Amino acid sequence: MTVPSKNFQQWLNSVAGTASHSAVCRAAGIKRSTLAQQLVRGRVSVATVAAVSRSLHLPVVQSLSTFEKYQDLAAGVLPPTDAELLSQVSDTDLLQEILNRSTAADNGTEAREVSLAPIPHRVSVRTWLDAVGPADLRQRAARAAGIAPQNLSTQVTANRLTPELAIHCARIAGVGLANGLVATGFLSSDEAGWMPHAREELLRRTPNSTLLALSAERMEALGKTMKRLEADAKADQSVWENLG
Amino acid sequence: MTAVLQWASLVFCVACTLWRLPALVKGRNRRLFWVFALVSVSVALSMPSIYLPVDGLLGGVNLANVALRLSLFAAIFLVSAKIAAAYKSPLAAKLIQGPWGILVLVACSAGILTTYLLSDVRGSSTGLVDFAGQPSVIVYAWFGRAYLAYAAACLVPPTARAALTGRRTLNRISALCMCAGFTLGCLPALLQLLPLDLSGVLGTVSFGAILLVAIGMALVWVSFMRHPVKR
Repeated sequence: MTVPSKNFQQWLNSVAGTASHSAVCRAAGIKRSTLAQQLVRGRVSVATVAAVSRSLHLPVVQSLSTFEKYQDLAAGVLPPTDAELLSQVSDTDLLQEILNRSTAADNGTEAREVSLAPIPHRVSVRTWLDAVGPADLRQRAARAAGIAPQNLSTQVTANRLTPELAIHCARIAGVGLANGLVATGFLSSDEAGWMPHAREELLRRTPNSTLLALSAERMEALGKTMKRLEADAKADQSVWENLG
Repeated sequence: MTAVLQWASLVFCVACTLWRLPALVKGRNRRLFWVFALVSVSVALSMPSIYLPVDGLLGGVNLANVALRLSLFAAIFLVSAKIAAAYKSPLAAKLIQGPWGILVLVACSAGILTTYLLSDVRGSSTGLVDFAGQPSVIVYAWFGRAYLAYAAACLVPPTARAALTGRRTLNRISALCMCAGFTLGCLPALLQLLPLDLSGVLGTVSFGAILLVAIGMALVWVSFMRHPVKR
């Protein structure tokens, strides 16, 4: 999540030269006070590193790799697998593609191309973990990061994953180390070295049966989430109705 | 410590009673107004500065203490139905409102009245401390705590479950406050079984319990005001 502020200062000096902190902050769109606070605490968030790096037009993955904790990140970049690419197609886009194909088949026309929503979609972290993972991926990642498995679950439910955990997960799953950072929205797909329009091209090549099986999985998960949300809302209503 | 908690509970319960006034007028969960009114009366009557004049008016035979006990019984009996329904615990509702629960309530109330009549308690004394040596007064106090502990114990599991599984943070905190309050509410009945003099601790625990439950309820109202029930 963070890098030591001493190392950050060194990196900043090497890339931004003599530029003042306020100039750097303005260019990166960070509050001056936020950076000052992070420096005082001795820990600068990786989001700051990414923002500064983008403002200087430096590759974010390379910048992160200059810090000890992330040093193997750049070397570990690999193109996404097909499963990873499909995992970053939203439920809506997936269903739309199926509908388009089905309409096209009925009418005997060419299927319209879906323009995919940008990454990340609403459950991108969970779908990515499911796409890359061995069954015990979450437990192993939590152990590697030294956090409780529930803690990881909470993050995934909220469609979040700390950069550190995302990298742990990618390492355990044996996929490109930066790919999890795309699923969390920390990096853009370009920054992680994904080919432009890789998702669209793969989606067009994917056979109907695979798409249908994938959408069935997605719908089942969505149904479970909805059921939980509805039960929670009902519990809240019951409290308000009786005690409000 | 006990005095601070007493005053804090009194002020908070009176404030809650007033807070429920608009709801009383509108007809929304009227019962909660009466619950807080009864609890305010009970807390007020546990303080010498209020107890002594009131008991004087009632003849100076500590009838006010009986009123305190019975109004507290009534309050927890009334509120438990709402809490059990709010946290969807038919078991708790059955244990308190069902035949068995009514039997416990009637037995404890009858016990209170009987032991009161059997005791010689002439001369106002807050909390009957001047007569604490009489066996019938000891049993009287025991009945008073027994019903509260019984009802509170029934409400610990549903509130604990809500505190652990709720979605909204505020509703979880309010359930947690109530759960902590009911847990404390069970303690006096258990502590008095120990062969120790815990009179100081008992007061702190009881008023802490009342305060926690009241805070929990108030937090529910805060969250309700933020998210009104959709019709």
